[in-house]
Amino acid sequence: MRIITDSAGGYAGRILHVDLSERKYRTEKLTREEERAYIGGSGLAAKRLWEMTGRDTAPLDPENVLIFMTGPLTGTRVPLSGRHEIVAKSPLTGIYGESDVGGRWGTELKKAGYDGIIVTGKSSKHTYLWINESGVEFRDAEHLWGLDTYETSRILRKETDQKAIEASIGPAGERLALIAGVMHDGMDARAAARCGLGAVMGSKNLKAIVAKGNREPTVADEERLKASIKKLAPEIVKNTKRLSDYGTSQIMTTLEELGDLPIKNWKQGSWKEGAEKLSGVTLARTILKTKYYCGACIVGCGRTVEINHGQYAGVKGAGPEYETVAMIGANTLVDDLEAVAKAHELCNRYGLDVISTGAVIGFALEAAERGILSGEEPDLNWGDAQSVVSLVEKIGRREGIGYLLGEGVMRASLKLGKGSEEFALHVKGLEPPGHDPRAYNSLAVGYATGNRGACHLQGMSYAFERSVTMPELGIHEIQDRFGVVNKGELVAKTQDLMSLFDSLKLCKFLLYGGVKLTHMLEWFNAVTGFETAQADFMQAGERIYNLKRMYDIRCGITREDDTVPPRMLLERHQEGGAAHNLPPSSRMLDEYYRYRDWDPGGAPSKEKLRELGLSGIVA
Amino acid sequence: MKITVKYSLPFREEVGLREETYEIAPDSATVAEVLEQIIQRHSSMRKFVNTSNEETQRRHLVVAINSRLSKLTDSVHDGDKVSLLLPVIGG
Repeated sequence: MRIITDSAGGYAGRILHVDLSERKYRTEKLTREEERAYIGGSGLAAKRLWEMTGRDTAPLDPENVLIFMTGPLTGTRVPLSGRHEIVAKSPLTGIYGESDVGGRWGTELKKAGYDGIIVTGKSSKHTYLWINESGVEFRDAEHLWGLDTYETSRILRKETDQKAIEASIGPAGERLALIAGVMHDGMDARAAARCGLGAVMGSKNLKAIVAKGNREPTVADEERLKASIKKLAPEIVKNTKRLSDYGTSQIMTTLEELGDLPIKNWKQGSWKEGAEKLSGVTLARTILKTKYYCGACIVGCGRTVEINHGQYAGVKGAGPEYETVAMIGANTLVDDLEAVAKAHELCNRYGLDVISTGAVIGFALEAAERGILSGEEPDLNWGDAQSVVSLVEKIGRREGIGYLLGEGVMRASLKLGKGSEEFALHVKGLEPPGHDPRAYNSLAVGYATGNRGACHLQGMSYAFERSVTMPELGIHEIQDRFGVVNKGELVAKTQDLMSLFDSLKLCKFLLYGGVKLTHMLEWFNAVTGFETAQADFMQAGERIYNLKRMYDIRCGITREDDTVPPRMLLERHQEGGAAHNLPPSSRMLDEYYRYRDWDPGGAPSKEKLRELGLSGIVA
Repeated sequence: MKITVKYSLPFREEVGLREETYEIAPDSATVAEVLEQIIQRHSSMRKFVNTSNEETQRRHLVVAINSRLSKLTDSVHDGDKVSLLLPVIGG
């Protein structure tokens, strides 16, 4: 069966609005104008967030909305398109919050006949939603409340359909940990982890949304799409072979060599033996069971692991990603891969962001070393695997010191005081992922201006400083990672490009497969039936990025907030591949603002808003 | 001149060595040429080397000279430590 829609292709053509307070739902028809201007996914969700929330919306109050949005390519045959975006006002940062995720849930939602879901209000009792082609059911979730996401998935599939896929929260989200995410696909554990959106879901008493459908999305020009994919797919597979062989953590040793790895709460510049013990190659030779592929994926970077012996026997399911081995491993000096795999599984089960969890544990270890945490948790030491695993449990359960750490590093440091703010690394409240701006100058601008806080994926400029080009954007050569000139322009261009990835709902690993802007546009036009020109396509990316910026400005963000933690700007590593480099953030930021046509306070000019068609919307 | 080539995993498994020394003629000492010499000594490394352009090469293997990410056209010098690393893709 095909989706019947006004759109020529790609879109289901309607968004589902669910009011949990009233236990009612309705559908909203999408317009072609919005599809063209905001694409879908992150772009469309950002527009709805702008329209439905404001400066005074408290993130954990019923007035906040929780938006799940697919893109026009989700559910089609386009490679690596099985993704969706979750958007809300973030309780961790108080500004725009979003999290991109793969898996199969987005595909099922599209096949059930919806481009997205906007959840409003708060249920009076614990609830889950069962969505299929027949409509929406509000179901009791009392028996699921308190269960981890793996167990929740098992029960939900039994109660609905064995082939259904769920987005759910674990105990961390239920208990409003601000670093809780929304998990998907049961033991395959695909995480929309960032920005504390699991706490937003928990605040609404919403345990899960289960989706299943059979309608194939329409494609406007099947032959054109087929021809393009036939040509590109073998290239993508060939170019990403190492990623497929060894997973995302295959880069561990390389990034250690380049000085990119976060080591000992970002203090140490080199950790060769530890990096090798945690690398994707080691994982492949030890605990790897099989690869995992998201919907429409032809790369298979996901790892499924199994530990049958020893202290961590019983670990089974999604294995650690690069961000886990970097943030929960290197950042805490734990080099025991099985312990990190155990910590990863706990994060998945409790529904915690592995990045923020690793960051806040690294912070706690440094606080303990300095005697700031001695009364709270006496036996914390760098490299102590058992303590780190135990801390993950405590954060997930919100027990003891875990309650404070579950609030993220910014709040934990404010509570602890005693100078701990100095080593609490965050931007606008969001902890940085496992990439160091001292190893790529452009990343300092990217972190400072990320609309959700410190984020490597909203700009991903560092990819262009190590292995990728994009001739359509004037990036003909791999950029010098320690250079300064035109870094602002590079970041602005790549942020706009990533806005397209996040709105089409494409995996950014396509960049490593050799996919260029031209291919993305060809897929968009072939699927939707639009004949969008490249300049208009890129302008859509710019529009989306500026709209999110306006949201942050509405929440009180100014240039003063566009900065990077002092440790990354002022403390030089004395060893490793980025020794002695400090990113000249202020100079690069000035150039970024000029390129963006933002005023000195960090706001887009009126002319820029008019050019992007935003002046009427954000006025 | 002499350089030391260091093999990270999984290249170490291919060549059976952690590191080894190469004698390089000073007038043919670019990263691309070092890679060609490595292939001559270890044919199993051929599948990781494609020096036709920078972007293509970096999808299969990257080279760091004294921990600095290096281009195919960069020169190597006497005493350099040349590390062969997995591509910087993913993460």
